Amino acid sequence: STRWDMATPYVDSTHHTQNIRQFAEDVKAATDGELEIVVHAGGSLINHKEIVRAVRSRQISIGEVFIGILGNEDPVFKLDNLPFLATDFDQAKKLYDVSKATIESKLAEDNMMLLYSVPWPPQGIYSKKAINSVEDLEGGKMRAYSSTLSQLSVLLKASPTTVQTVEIPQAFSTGIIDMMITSPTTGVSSQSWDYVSHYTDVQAWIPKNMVIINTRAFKRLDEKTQQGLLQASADAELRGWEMAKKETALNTKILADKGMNVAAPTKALMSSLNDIGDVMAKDWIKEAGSEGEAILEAYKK
Amino acid sequence: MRFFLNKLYHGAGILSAVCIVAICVVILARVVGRWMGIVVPSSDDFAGFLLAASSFMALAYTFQHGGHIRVSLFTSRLGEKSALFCERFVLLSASVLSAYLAYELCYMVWESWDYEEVSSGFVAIPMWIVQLPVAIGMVIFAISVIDLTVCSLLFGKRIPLSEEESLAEKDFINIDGVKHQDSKGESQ
Amino acid sequence: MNELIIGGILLVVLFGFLASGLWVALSLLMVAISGMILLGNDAFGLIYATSTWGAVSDWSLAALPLFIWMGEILFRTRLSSDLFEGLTPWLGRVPGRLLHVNILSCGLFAAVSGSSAATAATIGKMTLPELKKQGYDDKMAIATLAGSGTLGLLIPPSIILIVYGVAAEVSIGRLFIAGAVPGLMLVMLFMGYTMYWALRNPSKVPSDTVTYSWSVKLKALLKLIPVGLLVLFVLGSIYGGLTTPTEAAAFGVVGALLLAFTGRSLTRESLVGSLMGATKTSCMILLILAGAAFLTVAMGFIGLPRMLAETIAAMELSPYLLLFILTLLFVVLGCFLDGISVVVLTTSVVLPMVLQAGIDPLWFGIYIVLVVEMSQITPPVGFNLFVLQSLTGRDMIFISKAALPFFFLLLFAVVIVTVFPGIVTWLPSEMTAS
Ligand code: NA
Ligand code: NA
Repeated sequence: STRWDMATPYVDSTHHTQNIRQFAEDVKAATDGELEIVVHAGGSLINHKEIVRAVRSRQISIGEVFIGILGNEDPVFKLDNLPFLATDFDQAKKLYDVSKATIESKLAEDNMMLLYSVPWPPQGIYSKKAINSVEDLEGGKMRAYSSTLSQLSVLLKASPTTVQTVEIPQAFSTGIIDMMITSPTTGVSSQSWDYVSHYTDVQAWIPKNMVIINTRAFKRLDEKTQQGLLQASADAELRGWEMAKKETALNTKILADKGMNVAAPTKALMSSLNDIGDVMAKDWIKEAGSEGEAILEAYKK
Repeated sequence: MRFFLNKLYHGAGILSAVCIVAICVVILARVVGRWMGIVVPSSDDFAGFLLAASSFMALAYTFQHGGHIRVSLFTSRLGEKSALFCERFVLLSASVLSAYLAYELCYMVWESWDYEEVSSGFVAIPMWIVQLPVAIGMVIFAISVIDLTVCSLLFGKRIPLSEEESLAEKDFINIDGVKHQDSKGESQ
Repeated sequence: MNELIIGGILLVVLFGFLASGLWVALSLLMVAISGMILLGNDAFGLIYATSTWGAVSDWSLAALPLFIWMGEILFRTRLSSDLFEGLTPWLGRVPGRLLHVNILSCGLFAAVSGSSAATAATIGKMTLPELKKQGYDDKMAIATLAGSGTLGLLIPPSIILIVYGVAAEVSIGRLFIAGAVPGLMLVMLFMGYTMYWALRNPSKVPSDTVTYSWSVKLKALLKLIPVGLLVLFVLGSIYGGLTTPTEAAAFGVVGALLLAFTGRSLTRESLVGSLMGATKTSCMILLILAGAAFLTVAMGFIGLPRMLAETIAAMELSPYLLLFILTLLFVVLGCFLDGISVVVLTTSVVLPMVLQAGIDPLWFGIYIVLVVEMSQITPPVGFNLFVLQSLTGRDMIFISKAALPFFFLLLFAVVIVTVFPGIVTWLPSEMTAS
């Protein structure tokens, strides 16, 4: 039998890790114990930034990463972080379907395969005051951790500020930042009600994680084991998307229960934000070229 | 040769010190930039890369000054001859290990270059550039360990003590009479 | 091969290399490589490179060389002698007198730095030479520093509380608040023990029969103004929202340089000396950190810490017994791995069983920190020991023996917060109620 060590970046309480633990059990059952996946969650084996490299060079056979972390390698990995392009799970699924082949071919160039991909809940705005129109965002200090987010902040006339995830509570309470865009999951896990009062559910984008494996490691498995692994992956993908939907409803409710003002965005706010989204999508096409244009055309059909 | 090697260790040590100053400058720029609403792009990445460069470029320099710590309590109770034997064993092990680690870190840099890997932060920096100082630092470290091993085998040179250790040794001579001799014949 | 057999062999390898005098960092790497070979993992060379790069290019560690540099600059100014002269009249009647400077300044510096190695290195550079000069017992000076250096982890900000907070989904803000009272309690425990020790060993504290008048006492306060300004400057920059704790280190350097400049002790020579000194110390610490990181990864592959934690989980113990066994596990693992790694390697298994046993995760976070603090001063892998060996030139084993009473004080603190959990939970619940 074969043992695969699997590195994942997120802690046990996230739905991604819970899904992966179930996936590992499924694989063991589906391959009659021929393939055992040992999950090392929360970056305990390999740092998030190094997981792709580790899978590519077969230091480990399988790993999970946030797709956007590869954004600098190829623009296609930035796609699910484009704001106001896909704003509900159905759209996100469609975007995934039309971009999947390109993602797979990019991974294949580096000896990797995509097993499956699962989304995070849609991203909303956490802020100290109510956001009714795009003017309320002007002049704010917004947390930005990627070039996409910095660009968005600039378009919103807010000043982008880099703060590490772990420093968020302190940065809010001391005024280094006064708003951020992130998912209800992160809002709940970081207990955001301690330091912000408003959550505006703009559903800006739906980023995803992906589970990748080393192609050579895959080829070394016998055909029956390969089939078992692929079947378990397909199941994990379906299950993961359902988990993300439940997670969204549950955590948004928790935010409200904990006393935060959870608000749907006003029409005026959304139309201004969608305009900004169009600008950023055009910029992305410039960067991604004809390949990117084809993906977006397929998406808009 | 001696002159060249010492210059190499010292020069790398100075580069490492420059990196520490650079970390300070990058962080200050980041903070001051924030007050004025300017983002210093990838400042956290750069501070991390400078930290890596600083730590590894100083390896040989620190080694030459006895800055890397080891447990000498047991070996310091040995007689002159067995102590030298022990030091030679330790130096030979360290030579093999550091040479191997240097090879692996060089391989890492080559692989980053080959795959055109870039950093994941705001600014996409080719990884091989920022990893290169780590590999170079380890290579210089390996050279300095092998250098000392050769000197130990040929001239019986001893592993250098840090300033603090030499000071502490002086106390020890008074307390329990354990005696340490400085390296013979070799002056640097 | 069975995890326990591998673990046993690795123990022999580790002690063999350490005892023969191989450098600590290289010994850790030797053990990690041996572990990977015994496990049959043939990618260990690549994994070594990956884990090393990941460990040393981490932004949150960037504060470490800066704090050490700050200590080196201050060491070359009048600041440390001013600090002692300013406090001497005030501590004149307290048993153990200036030894308390170690504890109090570590407590204060802990409010700026999140790491125990940085705390011990920065404060030790300033206080140890001065204490030695004044004739204080070397062993106790080292011990108080080793012990109170660990306060860096408990008194906020704290790296380990952040790591735990993310893993356990406990609010980091609330964890920081929860650390304050136990932190003060530790300071008092350490000072209490120091007084007790001084009363029992009067010959080891230099005698001082001078009675200080109030005017002398007040005049002495003037000498504390520069230190006070520096502390205000750095703490103020954090709590005034100007910087994050990591960034505050750069402010510490600027503040120290300003002090050295106004005190006319900033020469080209002292500047270069401070910088090269900081370079050596931080290089030493980071090479060991990188070695420890690879050993942690090797342990992750071997699965020994997880296996031990799972064995404990399977016992289904009562809460008190569970805590007792967990403490034992963490102390043993903490001897060989760096404390934060122990937490990272075992949380997946430990957290569910702790929640299952009905233990408050907020309280458990503080418990974890206390246990990790112990790991900083247990040999062979204890970062405060390394820092102090480098500062004093004394052997690690001498230092760990000296620090042993402080290990037991930390253990005692664990017992106290277990019996009186309110020490941890009172302040956070009080503050969130309002
Ligand atoms: Na602290
Ligand atoms: Na330890």
